[in-house]
Amino acid sequence: MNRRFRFAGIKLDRRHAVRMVGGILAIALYACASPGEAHGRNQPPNIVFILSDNQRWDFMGCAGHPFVVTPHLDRLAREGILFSNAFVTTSLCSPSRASFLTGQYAHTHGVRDNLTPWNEEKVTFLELLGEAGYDTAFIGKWHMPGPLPTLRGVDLFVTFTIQKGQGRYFDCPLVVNGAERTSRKPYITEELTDHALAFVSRKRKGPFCLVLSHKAVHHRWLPPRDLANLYANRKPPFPPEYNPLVFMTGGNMFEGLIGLPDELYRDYARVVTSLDRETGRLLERMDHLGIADHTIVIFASDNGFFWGEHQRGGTGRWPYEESIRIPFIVRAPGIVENPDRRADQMILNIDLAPSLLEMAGLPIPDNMDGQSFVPTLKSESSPGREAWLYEYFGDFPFRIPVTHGVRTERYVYIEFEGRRGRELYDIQNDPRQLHNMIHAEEGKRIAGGLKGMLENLKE
Amino acid sequence: MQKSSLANRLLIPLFLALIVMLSSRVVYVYSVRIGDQALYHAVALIAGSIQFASIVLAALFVYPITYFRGATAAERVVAGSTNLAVWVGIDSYHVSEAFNCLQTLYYGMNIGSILLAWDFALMGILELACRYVRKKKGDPVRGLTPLPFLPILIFLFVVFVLSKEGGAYYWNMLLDGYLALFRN
Repeated sequence: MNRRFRFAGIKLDRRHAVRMVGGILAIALYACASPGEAHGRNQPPNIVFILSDNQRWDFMGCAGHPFVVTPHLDRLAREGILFSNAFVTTSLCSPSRASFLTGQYAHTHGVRDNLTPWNEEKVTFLELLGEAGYDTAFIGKWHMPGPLPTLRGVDLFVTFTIQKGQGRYFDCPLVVNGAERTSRKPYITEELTDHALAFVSRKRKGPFCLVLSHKAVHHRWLPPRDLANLYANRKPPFPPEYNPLVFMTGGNMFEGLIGLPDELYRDYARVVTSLDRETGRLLERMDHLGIADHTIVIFASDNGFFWGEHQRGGTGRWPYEESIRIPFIVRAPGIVENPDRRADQMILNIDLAPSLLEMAGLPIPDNMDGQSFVPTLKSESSPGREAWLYEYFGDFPFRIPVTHGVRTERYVYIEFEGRRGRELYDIQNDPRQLHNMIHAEEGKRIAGGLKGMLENLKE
Repeated sequence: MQKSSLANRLLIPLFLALIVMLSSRVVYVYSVRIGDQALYHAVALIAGSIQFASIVLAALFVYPITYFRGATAAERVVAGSTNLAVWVGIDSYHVSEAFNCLQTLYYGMNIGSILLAWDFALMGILELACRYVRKKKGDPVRGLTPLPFLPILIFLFVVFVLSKEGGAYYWNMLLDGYLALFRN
């Protein structure tokens, strides 16, 4: 019996109906198999956020480093925007990471130091994107105290808990959606990137959001074996106040800078280059999948690093430029006006979450402290923020007092709790912050206004 | 062995070592003001090295001097550990910029106990060496007794703990102790 069917008002016999259903299925299957083709251009963009650890703003070729080679990060900058005034509101791993995820200052999200547990009630941009239909993944270093969170809205959670969440460079055991797994590749940056490649290559209909949070470039700076001799003859550009013993004095020894300083510096540079290489693998995979022009890629670091500036070594914490300034690149095809440019507007880690939500077409919650930098992506002449609050709440056993400061385009005004008192620097005329103006006539004149600004920002 | 005056057997060696440490520290700290880069590095390296040696190796010089000048065991230990104790005090003072008294005390006791473990082990070795020298001279002195070995064994245990997991084990223990004492 030749049964007849009706489809869109057209009469079809069984053979034609089977062909039509088969065709629809074929298209659907093709769409699933080819993520790039499946993404309608009216669909929200995919998001990839790559977070480096302790990477200084200037450790990239595109940022002007004299010898570090980072062709893939340079490519991102060429195809997007390099923010030359990107900062963290607290220059310390855990608080900064929580700020990236929540869009909030440390005093709001509550992760005030590396020992304060993450509050499970906090809402991350991953949760909001997940609710909006994004396929979401957090891959890599979580590094916030307490038990691993549930991370609401995250479909894939790959991380590590060994050494209090710091992980290790070689053969790092992983936790994949709560289950312990061994590392398939010996080197952590490659292993995490493999997980990221698998995630972006998944067959899916909707958009995805990936947070790829690397262990690199954290202490102990162990490069992959094939890069172990890279930069062997390069002389580190240490600042004038550096001396060969500086990393062993003044509490710097807790930063793990034990060894030959030149070699430590080169190892740090090698690990940056290995991270760049893995970033290249991810970019190439997205090119291959055909999703690059519909995927926003953002690269940043959780805080800066001292290599002898102010006679300090190691992780930021202090409110000085080497510590608070971070690399920040945004490649957002179709959103960025005039790619291959630098933006001087000041942006912060707390701006990431609201910006991603705006780019995904979602409302920005009122409880986010940051503001979207999308206007800066869209227009070179977009006005940036005038001032922002820096805060640091101590971190045992590091001898940096509780700090509050305000950073404007020209000045940084700092109030340390305790004996250290106040500091004021003119960033334009004294970019290395060598001359504390707080007791000079000009400083006294300026400090009052900045103090008022600081008090307003703290409220 | 004849006993010298208190100044001779204890105070002079003790204060000489202390002066070396403090003056080298001052030179190191202010060397950054030297305009010439090469000279600055040279001065910092020399002064910093002397300072480091005067903290962790002071006993190497002070202990034998006090021993052969007739100082008592308690006096020798005080003389051999003064530099180190002063340095821990200075370091703790800097730490107290960021932490309260009890937290600073916790820091000082941790750092101090590691350094003192080293210092006492060094003094244990020196005690045995000094006895050996006296015995060779024919003085009636005890040779090997268990007490000088005790700090050496303790220090070996400290080294084991410090080196475990590349230092991460001790570091986590330090932080766990801090959390247990001050955050709960």
